[in-house]
Amino acid sequence: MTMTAVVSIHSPDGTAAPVPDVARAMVLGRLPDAPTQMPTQRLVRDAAPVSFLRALFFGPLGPVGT
Amino acid sequence: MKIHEVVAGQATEMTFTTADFEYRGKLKAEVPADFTLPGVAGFKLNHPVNRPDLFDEVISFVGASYFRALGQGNAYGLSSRGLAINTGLSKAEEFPRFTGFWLEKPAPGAASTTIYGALDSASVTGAYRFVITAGIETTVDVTARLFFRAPVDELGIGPLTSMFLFAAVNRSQFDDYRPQVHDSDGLRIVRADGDVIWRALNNPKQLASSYFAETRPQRFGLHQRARDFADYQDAEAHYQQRPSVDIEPQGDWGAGRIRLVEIPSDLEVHDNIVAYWVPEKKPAAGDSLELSYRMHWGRLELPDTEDRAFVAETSSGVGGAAGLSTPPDTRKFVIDFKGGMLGRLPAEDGEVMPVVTVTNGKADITTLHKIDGTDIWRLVVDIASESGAVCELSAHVAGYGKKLSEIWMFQWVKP
Repeated sequence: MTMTAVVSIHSPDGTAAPVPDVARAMVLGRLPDAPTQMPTQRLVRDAAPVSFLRALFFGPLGPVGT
Repeated sequence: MKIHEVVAGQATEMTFTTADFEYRGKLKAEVPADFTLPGVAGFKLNHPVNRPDLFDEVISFVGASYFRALGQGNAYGLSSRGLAINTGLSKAEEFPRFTGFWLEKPAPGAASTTIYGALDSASVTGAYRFVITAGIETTVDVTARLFFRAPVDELGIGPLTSMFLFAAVNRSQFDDYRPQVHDSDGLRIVRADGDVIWRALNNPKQLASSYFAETRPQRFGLHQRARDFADYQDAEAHYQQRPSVDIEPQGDWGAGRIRLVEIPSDLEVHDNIVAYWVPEKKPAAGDSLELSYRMHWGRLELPDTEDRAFVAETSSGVGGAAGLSTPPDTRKFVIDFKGGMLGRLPAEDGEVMPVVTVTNGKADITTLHKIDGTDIWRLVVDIASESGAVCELSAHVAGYGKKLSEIWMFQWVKP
C-alpha cells in the first residue's frame, strides 16, 4: 500500500505552523504493507537475562528521570 | 508469555495446562487433556467495580504490548500499549511485546494490585511496573525503564490506539443508520499553563499526522464525549460506554510532542487513531530512560464546576446560508461550546467574542450565538481555501480578558 500523508505542526504557542519539509519527509513515501499487523520478526536473542530483570523489578525504583 | 506469581518477594512461575481452558467443537477431541502449555497469550484481572457481588473484568494484557482497562459502567473500547516504536513513518513499525509478567498477590481487600512486565523488541528491552486501582475511574500507575539496543527514530510513550469512523463532522461520507461510530471523538490536551486543547478527531481521506509541541503537559488523552445511546443508536456496540483515557505524566517529562495519527478507514473494526508522547531527545543505542505516568480509564466527564466551556459537538457541511445557493470552495464548521462560565452568561452579553485562526485558508463568515434554553454557545465558521490545501483550524471563545472555552482544533484538507 502506497499512501501520501498530510502533516501539521503545532508550535509551542499553540498555533499551527506551516508544514516543514523535514516533517513531511518523515511520513511521505511508502508505508509498510498492513502496518497494523502484528510483527513476525525474530526477536533478538540477547534479551536481558532473568536475573537482570529481577533486579530491575524488585530493586527499589528510583526517582523519575534517572 | 510466562506469568509468575509473587508472594513475599518470591516469584513462582504459574503453569497452565489444557485443563485450565475450555475447548469447543472439534478442538475438544483434538487437544490432549492436562497438557502443560509452554506459555499463555495473556491474562486479565477482575475486581468488583459495578456491583459488590460481582468480579468485573478490569484490565487485560494480551497481544504484543497491548492492554486495556475499564472504569465503572464501561465496555472495552480503545487500547494502550507499553511502547510504540516508529509508528507511521516511512519504514516498518516495530512492535515490542511483553514476554513475561510477575503478578504480586494482593492482600484480601487491597485497593490496588501491582504487576511487573518484561518488554522486548529488536531495539529496546524494558521493565514495567503497573499499579492498578479499580474504581469509577480505574487508574494504572505505569513506571517504565527502557534500555535501548539500537537508535529509535520516533519513540511513542503512553500510546493510545482507538477508532474513529464517523460523527457529525464527516457523517455525509457514510451511508449508515447510526449517527456516529467511534471509540473516541477527540484528543484532549491540558497544557502546562492550564489551556485545554480539544482536537476533534477525523477519518481523513489521506493518512494524517499532527504534532503538538508541548513542554510538561499536565495531561493528554483520547476521549469519548458523546455519552447517550441516542448519539450512536447501536444496541450491540454501545459506543456510549467506551472509556476515555488520560495520560497524566508524573515527574518532569520536559519538552516533546504529542503526536496524533489518523489513518483513513472504511470499517469500524480497524483501529485508525493513535496518540502518544514523543520525547524531544531521540534515544541512541546504549541509552536508558525512565518515565512514569498515571493512566485514567473511565467516562472522564468534566465536572459542572469547570470554568471553561467544553466542545460538546463538532459538525460540518456545505458552506453558505441554508436555502440559498451553495458558494463554491467553502465548508461550514459548527462548534458547540457547552457549560462553564460561558454557559451562564446571557445571550446578549457584549464581552463574548470568537477567536478563530485558519492556516492555509480564510474564515469567510463567523457567527457566535447562544442557543436558547441551553448553556451552549454555537460558533459557525465558513472556511474557504484552495483545492488540496491542508487547513489547520483553531477556535475558542474569549471574554473578560481570558479564554472562556477549550481551544477547538481540526485539520481539514480542502478536496
